[in-house]
Amino acid sequence: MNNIARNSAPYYLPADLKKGCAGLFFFLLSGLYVSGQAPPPSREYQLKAVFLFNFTQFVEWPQNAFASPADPFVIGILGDDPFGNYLEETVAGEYVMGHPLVIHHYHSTKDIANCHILFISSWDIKKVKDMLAETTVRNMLTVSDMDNFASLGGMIGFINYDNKIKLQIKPAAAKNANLNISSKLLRLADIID
Amino acid sequence: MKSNVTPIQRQLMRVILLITGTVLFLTCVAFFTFDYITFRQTTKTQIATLGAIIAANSTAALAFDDRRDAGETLDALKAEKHIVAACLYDKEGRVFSSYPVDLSPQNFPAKPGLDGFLFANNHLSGFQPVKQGNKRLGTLYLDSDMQVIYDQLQRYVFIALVIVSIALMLAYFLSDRLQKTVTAPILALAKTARLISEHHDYAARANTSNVAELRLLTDAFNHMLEQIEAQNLEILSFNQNLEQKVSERTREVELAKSELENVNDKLIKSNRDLEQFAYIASHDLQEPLRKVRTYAEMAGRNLHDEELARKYFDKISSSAGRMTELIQAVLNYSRLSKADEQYEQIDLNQVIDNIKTDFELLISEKNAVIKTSSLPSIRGIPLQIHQLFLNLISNSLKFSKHAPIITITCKILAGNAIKTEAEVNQDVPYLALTFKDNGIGFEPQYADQIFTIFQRLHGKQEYAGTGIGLALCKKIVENHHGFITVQSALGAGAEFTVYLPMEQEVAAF
Repeated sequence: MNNIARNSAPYYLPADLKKGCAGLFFFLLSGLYVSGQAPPPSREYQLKAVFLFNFTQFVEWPQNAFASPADPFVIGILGDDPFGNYLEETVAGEYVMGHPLVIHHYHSTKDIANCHILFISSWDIKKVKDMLAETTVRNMLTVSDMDNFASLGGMIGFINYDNKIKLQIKPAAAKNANLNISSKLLRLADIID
Repeated sequence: MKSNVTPIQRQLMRVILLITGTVLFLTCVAFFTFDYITFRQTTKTQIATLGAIIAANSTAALAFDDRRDAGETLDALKAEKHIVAACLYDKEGRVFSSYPVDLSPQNFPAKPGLDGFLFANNHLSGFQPVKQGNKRLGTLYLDSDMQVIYDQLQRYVFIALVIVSIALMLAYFLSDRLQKTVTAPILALAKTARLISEHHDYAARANTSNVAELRLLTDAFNHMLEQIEAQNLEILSFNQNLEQKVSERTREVELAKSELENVNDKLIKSNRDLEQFAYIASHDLQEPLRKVRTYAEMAGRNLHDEELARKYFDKISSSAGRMTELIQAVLNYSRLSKADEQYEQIDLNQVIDNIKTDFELLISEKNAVIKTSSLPSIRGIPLQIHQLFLNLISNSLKFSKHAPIITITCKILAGNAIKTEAEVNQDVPYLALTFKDNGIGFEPQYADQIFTIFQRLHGKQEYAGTGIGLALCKKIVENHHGFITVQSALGAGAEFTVYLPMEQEVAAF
């Protein structure tokens, strides 16, 4: 959690002058910390990472999505990882429905197994289409920021609109995968039939 | 000094108003206290519920950074007028959205505080966690202005006060009207009681009431009056009875007293008579005894002179004879005291004739004349009446120097016409018998003495006699409830008058 606070501090610095000094301090500290690591992701991907985690709160997975209670809740990333370490840091120590949250990276659709949320980063449209046809039965929430993802058969798509991240959701696809998306989440999103 | 006595009407009114007022006041206080507490609790519950709803609806907006949606959710608070400020903080405590849109930052805390709602300065405000599942996504701040509702409560209190006042006034008028059913009979009763105590008119009665206890009281009061009235009458008649009895008793006592006095007088008189009698008897009886002794002694000394001795013995015999005579007279006298003889009708002319026969010798010896008019018959004891006439005539014959003339006259007088100091029954006629002679007479100052036993005015040598004759006469007349008087002057004869009642039965009262 400390990592999140530390890393998110610089973005809110102008908004909170009172915390300015502290924020600057944390900014310098984080700068030092990450200097030897991969460079931090953009604010857009930081938000998307948090959103990915937040989906776990607003979507319901059936019990049979887990083979045993000890099985982890898996967020998978197919393709290049745009989050760097940020997603790992966000979900570190978190549990969903009593299952520990873990991040898996996939480089091929064949690698995907027991995944609950799959973020498709950059992938060939055709392969995606094929894959989406397969994943419906696997209780897997598919998320991507590629254009028209929901129209292609995906469940939730990130869209950049007016310098904000908006959501596109196709409830029918989620329903096919036996997933229940909260009406609160649906209220915020553009619904794709 | 002020009196502690209050009219029952005012007292009752005071009690009724006090009870009504107290009950109304306590009811209002209880009502408002309950209302106030309930209101605060309800408000607190409401704001908590509202907070929970807003928080639940804000989760997605916070999770997916949708300020527009958060604003819309908060904007729904417009329906709750008393919510004056609301604010949504994100997970890091930064202000995410606020309500109303134009709210200045000093109207809500910059950072979220502890969860929960608290009352402060007419405001109910606090923080509500925003959670999705177990995940805390942020905090909601709500601020409710209680002043509006407090104002409403104040209006409420004012209206209640007005209602209480009206209720009290109503209670006053109603109790003023209704208490009369209770107080009117009591006042009437009190008035009756006062009138009775002022005028002592126990015939007055109180009117009955239709209140059970008052009717009981009135009935008891009336019953008491009846009893007092009856007792008064009883006391009055008892008093009259008592007075009558007292006067009766007084009369009886007076009667007994006069009787006693009578008896006492008689006793005194008889006692005096007895003393006199004892003195004179002893004196007169001693004289012949002394003679007997003297002559017996002298006879003893002169036994040798037979003639002298015989003379002395004759003297002794004569003295003894005199003593016998005296004793016989005393016996006669004392016998008169026992008035057990029967009264009979006596012809007084017959009595005079008998006496003339008795004194035939003496009358012829002395050339005496006894003149009598026609005498009536009276009721008396024959022997005593005979003795009376005998003694009086004998007395006149005895005390004379030349031929005695005795005139016996009589007249009948009414009791109230007799002028005397002696006791006279005013209601009966008396027969007045007068024995007048031409004898030696006596000085008037001895008029009382001559009736005393053994009292003699003359020596035995001059005029013989026992000295009992006139005493006997007096006694006999008294036995017949009459009296005897005498008028005389020395040498002018004597006039004895005997008054005897005509009827003894009536006289012997």
